[in-house]
Amino acid sequence: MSRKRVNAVVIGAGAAGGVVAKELAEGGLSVVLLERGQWTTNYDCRKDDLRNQRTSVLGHPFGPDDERNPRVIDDTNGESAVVKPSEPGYQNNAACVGSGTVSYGAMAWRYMEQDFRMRSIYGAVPGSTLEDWPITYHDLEPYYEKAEREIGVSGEVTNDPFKAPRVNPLPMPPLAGNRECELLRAAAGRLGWHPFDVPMFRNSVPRQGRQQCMRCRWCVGHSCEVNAKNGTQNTVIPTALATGNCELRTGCHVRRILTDARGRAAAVEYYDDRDRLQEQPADLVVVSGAAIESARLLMLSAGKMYPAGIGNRYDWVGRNLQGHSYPRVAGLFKEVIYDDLGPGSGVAVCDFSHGNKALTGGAMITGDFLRSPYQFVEKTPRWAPRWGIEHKRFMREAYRFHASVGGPVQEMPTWDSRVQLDPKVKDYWGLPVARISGQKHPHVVEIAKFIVGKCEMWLKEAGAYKTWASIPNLAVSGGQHQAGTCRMGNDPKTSVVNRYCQVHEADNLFVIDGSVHPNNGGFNPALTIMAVAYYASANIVKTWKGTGFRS
Amino acid sequence: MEGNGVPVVKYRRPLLITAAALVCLGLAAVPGAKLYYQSSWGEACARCHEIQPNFDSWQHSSHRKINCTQCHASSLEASVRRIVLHARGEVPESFHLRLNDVFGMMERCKSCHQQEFAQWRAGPHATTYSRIFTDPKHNEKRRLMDDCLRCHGMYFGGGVTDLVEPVSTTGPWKLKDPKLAMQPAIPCLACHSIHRQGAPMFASQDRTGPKQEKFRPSLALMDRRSQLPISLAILPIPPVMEGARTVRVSPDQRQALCYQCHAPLSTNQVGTGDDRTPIGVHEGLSCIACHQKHGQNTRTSCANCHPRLSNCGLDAEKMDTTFLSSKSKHNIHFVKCGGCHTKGVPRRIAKR
Amino acid sequence: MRNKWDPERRRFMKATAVAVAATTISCSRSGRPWRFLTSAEGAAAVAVCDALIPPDQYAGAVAAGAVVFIDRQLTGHYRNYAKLYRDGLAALDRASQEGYHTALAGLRADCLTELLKKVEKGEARASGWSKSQQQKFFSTILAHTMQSYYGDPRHGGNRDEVGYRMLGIPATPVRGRSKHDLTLSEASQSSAEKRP
Repeated sequence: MSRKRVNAVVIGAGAAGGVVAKELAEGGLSVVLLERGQWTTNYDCRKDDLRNQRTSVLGHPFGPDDERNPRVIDDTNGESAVVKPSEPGYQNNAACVGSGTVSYGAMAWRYMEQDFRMRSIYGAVPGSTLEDWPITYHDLEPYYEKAEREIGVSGEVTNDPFKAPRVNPLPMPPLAGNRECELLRAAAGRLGWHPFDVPMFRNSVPRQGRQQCMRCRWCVGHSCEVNAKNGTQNTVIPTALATGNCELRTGCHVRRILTDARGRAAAVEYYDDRDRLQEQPADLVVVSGAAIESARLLMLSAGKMYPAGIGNRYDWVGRNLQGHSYPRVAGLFKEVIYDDLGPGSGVAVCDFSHGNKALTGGAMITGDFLRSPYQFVEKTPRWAPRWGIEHKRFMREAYRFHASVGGPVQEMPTWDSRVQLDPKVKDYWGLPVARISGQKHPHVVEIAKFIVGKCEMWLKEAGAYKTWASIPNLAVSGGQHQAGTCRMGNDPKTSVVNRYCQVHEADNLFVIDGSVHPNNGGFNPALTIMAVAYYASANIVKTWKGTGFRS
Repeated sequence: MEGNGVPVVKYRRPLLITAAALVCLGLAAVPGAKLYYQSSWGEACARCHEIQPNFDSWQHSSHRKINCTQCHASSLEASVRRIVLHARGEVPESFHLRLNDVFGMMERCKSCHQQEFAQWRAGPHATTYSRIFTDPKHNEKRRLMDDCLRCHGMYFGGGVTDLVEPVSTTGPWKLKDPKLAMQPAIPCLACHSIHRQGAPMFASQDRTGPKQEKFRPSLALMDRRSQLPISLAILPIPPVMEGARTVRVSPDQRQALCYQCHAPLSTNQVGTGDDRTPIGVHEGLSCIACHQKHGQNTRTSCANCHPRLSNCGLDAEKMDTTFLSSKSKHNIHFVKCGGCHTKGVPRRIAKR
Repeated sequence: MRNKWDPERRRFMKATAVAVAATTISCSRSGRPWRFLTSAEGAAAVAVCDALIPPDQYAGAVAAGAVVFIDRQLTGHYRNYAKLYRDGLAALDRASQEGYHTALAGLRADCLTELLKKVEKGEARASGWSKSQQQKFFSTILAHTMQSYYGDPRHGGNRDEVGYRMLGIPATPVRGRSKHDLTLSEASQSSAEKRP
């Protein structure tokens, strides 16, 4: 059934889609925002430490639905398996209004200036498709600030000498550190490093009618009961809906983007919440489904004009899939570390993000979010007793006495780490599912090993008498940090979208989400995804006013 | 078989009888199940499900003469669907009292515990859904959030957006289900877990002295997150601080129940959040020393320790504190000697 | 004329209906205490879980509800593990019979620990139980027992928050809300918002 034509359809109400919908609606465009998930409440989550987006051994509350959305994962041994969303390896990102921003840990990092110019600074890395961004940090700076203000960020980064220049301070002060945080801060200072308070999408003071963080121990993976964690679902999406220009349709699973005879986007075909096929014509279409699903949708939309999928003439769609690998070190202390003050991860250092000898990039290093008892059991070191009376004794002597640090390593994008359509496996709607294959660049593991050394140093300085490390392997990373599959670039032969996130081949089709990141920085990408969304939306609104997209 | 015809005739009668029996069985199943639920005392339920511990504690409680269906009315409603699900073994992950049953039980509680009920009814904890969730004075200032339901409406099955619309600071607000308006937001079952009522008093609490009253085993907080009552025995009392000093808190474990909602913020500083831990002249008193258990009123509490015919000749009730008037600067929970003796506390008093 | 619904007849009807319903409801489940496990499997699971997390000054896995947790999940989210448990518990029982000449449920604690150590390495001897099967079974029941003990009580394990209390963390963190905060004035609450 064909619906009334609108100016813009935005596919995906996550970090980017929510921002785009709000910006376009405020810019005067009529917008339909399609989301495959639903509005969720805390009643769906209820702080269950076995059933959340982080520890999903008993499923996950914010989707996608386990029965309807399989994927095929090729592991590093070349064996493939059909995987459900809550199972390991799926590279899941939540499917609900707000998507990952409902349940993330909520770090709000700006990338550093160097992150946008990796290729120029470090040169080519053999075996990697590492490239500069076509835009610089300075193009994004005003939009970073807008995202920090509108979504709401707390923290204090003035003590970070490595940060990119910024005009204004963060809108909210940091939360006071918990015991682990203060221990690490002091130790980093003694080492001559530069510790500072991590910027977070989290109210440290009451703001916009919502109260401050209550500092419970369930944060990352859960939704916030006091609504102090800021995502698109409690900020820009309600603003977009309040303009009257934006209609949010939940439970809508997009089948494909329809193109006209000239190859421009004409409409979006989707299954609505009662599985009826609908067609929504629009003047422009924005794909914000996150790296894996956005690439899949472009490929699903293959047609006469686009035999391999929209934007895929040079086979770049779905390539360079990357997330982040986390080297981590945990250490045991003689004193009690645990003080039941969430969310944790209060302090970080950027001393090793760049400029490390013989390495291309590095990582920001930070304390970990609070670990639930079961998470700790899963990560106990090899020498620890796994069961029996000794296990109970170990847990009593270790759980409250441990600290953990780690950080996201710069990924070296590779051509073979990719998303394709699986030839056999179909989802509930009969559409080919995403098949994820390839592996990480080995240099990522080299950086990770270097970072592990620094983490060990940090914990030992803080007083740990015993440490153990986990070093990432070569398996593809993606998950909540997924990026890279619809690269942004100036040359249509080596990228999918231009510097305004516009698909090279179709001027009224945009991909705005982590997919466009040529590389994913050494930080959690949420704020950058939002900043790019503000930046790209500003261009759409500006061009729209010159009626640039009317066909 | 159909070829020779004879067996068809031969089997028609038994077939018919079987069919008729099946139909009768089907028809009888629903009223039968209903009767069964009403007349049984849960033995069969307890045999099948993992409710044995609950069943046992109920059997040993003073409520053992109340039949399952009298409280679990809508959960034990017989319907074809439920019988089919039951027969197929499709049991939900866990069993809970439904919201309607929670309200229905209030009446049942009232019929025996009349005095406690009347006290509760007259007190602030008898507040209703509409008073908590559609109060413009509150809602204009702060957005409603799911966490409101932690203390008010802990049995409500949904988020705050399922309860009130709109969730904004502009209003006007109304309950999506108008039937909830006058229902209690803090029902009896918020603090009482009746399966445990009458079981032996919990005795292994090291906080309580040997001669002091221990708490009733029925006292348990209905934890909205896990949908389980958490026994008072394991509910924590936070370490309340005044600056860097640890405040002396009464060892009365019963007040742990109060602290679950009337608690300090994460800094644990006294007076923050909803905390009213007494400091100053009243430091160390239990909530229940002054507040009546069901009605929370404090009407005659001063006289317990400060009788009117005392040596000092002062009437504590008439002093300038929030006990006398809510506008007083001297909050009865926090008032210190220096609060009234602004020019310095006389040495005799300071020594105390 | 005799009343159609005289008391005697009513009692009879009621009794019949009760009998019919009781049969319909309870026969399908034949009165065993578990949803998925048979009584024998249940007894075996009890033995294994308590060997994995034995009782000391804090409750062991079984008292904390590990078998309730596992049994419940085997008809729910862990449906796919049903066969693994059925085969695994049977094979473990065989290994006990073959190695110690007694059923698993009656095995002495030290013998059971010895047996489980072998299963963990995949070295137990039981006909038709391969090394990888043993290891898979062991790691699965170990992970599920840990989930029950340290996970949320709502799933049937961690009864009375024993797992949390053993580690010394509060069952429910107590947190007040700022609405009634007497230490914050309204002015100071909104000042932070005015920062540029």
